[in-house]
Amino acid sequence: MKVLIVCNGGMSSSILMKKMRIAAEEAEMDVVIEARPNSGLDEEIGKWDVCLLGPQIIYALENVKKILGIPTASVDTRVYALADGKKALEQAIALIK
Amino acid sequence: MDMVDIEKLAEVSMEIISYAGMAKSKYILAYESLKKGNQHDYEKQRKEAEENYIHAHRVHSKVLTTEMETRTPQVSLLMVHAEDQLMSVETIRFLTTELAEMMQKLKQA
Repeated sequence: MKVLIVCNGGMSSSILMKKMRIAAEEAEMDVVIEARPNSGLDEEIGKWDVCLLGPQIIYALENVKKILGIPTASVDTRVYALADGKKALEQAIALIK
Repeated sequence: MDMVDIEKLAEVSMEIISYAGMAKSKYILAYESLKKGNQHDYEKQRKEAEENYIHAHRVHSKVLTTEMETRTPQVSLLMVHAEDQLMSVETIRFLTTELAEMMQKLKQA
């Protein structure tokens, strides 16, 4: 599974990315997780299975969905605030199923 | 002097970024609803934006007070980023409010 996390500058999302990687490791899951800023999303087309958006960028949800063409959803504000990697990973898995 | 708890500071920064970010998104969504002429959605999203905005500010004020009280600088790159997000929301909040008022006036004219 390949998960893309998108936020404004890619800064806070890289924190969530780190926590998600730890959660995936603990669950012994084979997951690729990367964080990217929302500029230059065109280069990410076809590379990912699922996309999670930071709260800063949910206004662009429909637009990102259109560009990437994969299951995309926003991370809950509280989950993002706590950088809860496990919950975010569960959400990504649920989106694909 | 007390050492800065960098883990704790990262947590607080993430909370500010998250709620300020949500506020920004909601202000923009609210404004888009208004453009489509959907007054009900506009008011609902605007209210949610305000709640998130206030939450982010409250958390930030607590960090400031801690710095004043302990005289220990509560700074990290992530906190700087969090404050940058707060400033960006303030701008967007002001501009969307002004634009909304202008739209109402144009409608009445």
